[in-house]
Amino acid sequence: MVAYGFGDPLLTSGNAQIDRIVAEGARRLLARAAESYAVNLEILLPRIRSAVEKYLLKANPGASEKEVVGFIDELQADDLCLIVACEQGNQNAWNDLVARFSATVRSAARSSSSNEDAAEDISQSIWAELYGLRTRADGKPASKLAYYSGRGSLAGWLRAVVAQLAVDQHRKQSRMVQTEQDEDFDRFSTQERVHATASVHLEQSIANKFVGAELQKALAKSFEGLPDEDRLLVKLYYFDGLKLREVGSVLGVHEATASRRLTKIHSELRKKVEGVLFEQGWGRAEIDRAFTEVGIDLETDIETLVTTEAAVEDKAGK
Amino acid sequence: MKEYKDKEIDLMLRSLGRQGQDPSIQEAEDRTSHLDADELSSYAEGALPLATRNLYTAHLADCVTCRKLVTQLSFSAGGATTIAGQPKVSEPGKSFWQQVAVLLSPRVLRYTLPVLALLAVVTISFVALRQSGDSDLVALGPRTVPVITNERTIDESASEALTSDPGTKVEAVETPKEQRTASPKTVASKPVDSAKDAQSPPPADSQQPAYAPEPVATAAPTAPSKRDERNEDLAQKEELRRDSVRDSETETVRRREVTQRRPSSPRSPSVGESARGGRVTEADQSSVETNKTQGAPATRTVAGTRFHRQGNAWVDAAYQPSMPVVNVQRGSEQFRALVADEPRIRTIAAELEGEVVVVSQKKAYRIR
Repeated sequence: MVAYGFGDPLLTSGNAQIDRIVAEGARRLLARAAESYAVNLEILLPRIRSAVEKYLLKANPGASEKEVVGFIDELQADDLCLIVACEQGNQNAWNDLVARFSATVRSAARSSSSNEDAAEDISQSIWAELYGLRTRADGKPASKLAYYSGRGSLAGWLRAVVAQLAVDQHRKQSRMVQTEQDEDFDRFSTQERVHATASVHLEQSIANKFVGAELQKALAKSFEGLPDEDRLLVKLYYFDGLKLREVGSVLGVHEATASRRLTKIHSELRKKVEGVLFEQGWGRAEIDRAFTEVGIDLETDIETLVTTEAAVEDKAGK
Repeated sequence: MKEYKDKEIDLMLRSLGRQGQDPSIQEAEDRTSHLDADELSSYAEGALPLATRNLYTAHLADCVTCRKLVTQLSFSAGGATTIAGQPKVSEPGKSFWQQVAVLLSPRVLRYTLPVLALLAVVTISFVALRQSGDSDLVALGPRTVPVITNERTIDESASEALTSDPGTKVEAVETPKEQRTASPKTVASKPVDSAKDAQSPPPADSQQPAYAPEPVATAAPTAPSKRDERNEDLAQKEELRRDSVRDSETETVRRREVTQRRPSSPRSPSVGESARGGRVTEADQSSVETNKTQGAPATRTVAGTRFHRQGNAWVDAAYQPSMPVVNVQRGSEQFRALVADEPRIRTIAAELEGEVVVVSQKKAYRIR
């Protein structure tokens, strides 16, 4: 169970204080909703309470009342009421949900599939999942709707549900067919696997060849010591192959900010790698020479790598 | 040096990224706990509290599956539901003002503002150039369609008004006319009617336009007296030329009337002529006649120096085009130094408004 804001006078009274804040926030949320679909406070309270615990108090147990109030007031009132009403079996709410978001679901399904049939299958599966095919202990359908908190938009949540379902379906098919390449999921596999297969062999030879193989190890070790946000940036840029603009979009920062941060990461990594090597008994001259050699060799071999990759991709394309 | 080092780290990270691709995928396949749809979408939309976001960031840095989903969702959220190769899906519940707010968001404005600024600069430049071109056309208008009056054209009259140097006037402006007529002298005497033909021709240095306009009350700078200096201020010339053209039309009408009267009535001395004790030249006579129309003297004598009005300027009768000209601004340090040496010039500058060209010690001073 989550420990509530000890140290903050507003939350030291424990659950009762939180309940009061949540109840007041729920009333405001209902007042904000343009269409409440007859959702009452009693139904809404556990939902909001759950969201506050999950997204606010879990990571920040010392959150103040102001933060809790702000969190609740930022919830998507209309979307949350619609989903809660659907979960309660309100037919009007279901009609509205399907009417408003079927296009969103279809487009999300298309983006995860390469053909219209597969997209249609995923769309239908989503609505079934949302409705709930299984039954819970209380006799109500076990619907995915229960997981919508109202923190993000309903459209975004539906897209995420579709994407996850597509991943699950892909995994199931992969296990059944035992194939690595599935044209329904080429976004996550085809190109990257071809790229990776070609790369790994060549990189292995490069790593063996380099005097600076130790340098690569030190870099890997240093990388693990970076802050999470920096590691994510590096993973997105170097491992996932995103452009800086795309990295910025994921991290919620401007492209230029991402670029500056990457430059800073380079310099931090350089210091960390040098520190690791110093610990291993390397001298300054050795470190500088190793960096220089690695730089020259990698630059040369990357040209070969690019040429080889192009040849492999051409072959795969044929 | 630092950049070179960064380049090495960059190359090594690329290499590490390629090596780590397969293990990452394997790691993701084996991972049992992933972010749920609500967490993924909230992260992608940036709707999470900072502390919670940091928790999920740590997960995303290690989980390739969740990272790819978040990337996909971020693109969808940022791309306004437009999926590559698919028709645009309308986002429900977005009001007009919300759409306007999106258009005015910093993300959009950072691209549109420079473009708008560039467009504004181009537009202003275009308008300015157009206006400049229009003024050129206005100035050239009478030249292309001249109005012929008593063998003189408006264009010629205007040119004379501009040409403060009598010596260069004929040479500079009347050249086309010379090709059609006998000689510059003929041209110079053309404005004068038949009654004036009996008079002796005026000296060359006294030739001046007979239609000098009233000097501007605000002492605006006028056209310079030397031909090579006319290019210094084109706009000023254009303005003066327009004024001259307008005045020449008035002059033409007046001349017609005079020409019709002259045969029956002999020339009578004018007010200006009598004021100078009969020492008037033919050009002065024209000036005097202009005075009748405009009510302003064309020749004045101040501090013992005689000045002719040429355009908006008063020019010393002793002025020669070959003289070096020094520009002096009234009230400037240079002006104070000049009048300290030549108190006569102080009186002249005080008496005569507007631009004054005065000769002192074989040197011309253009006082503005």
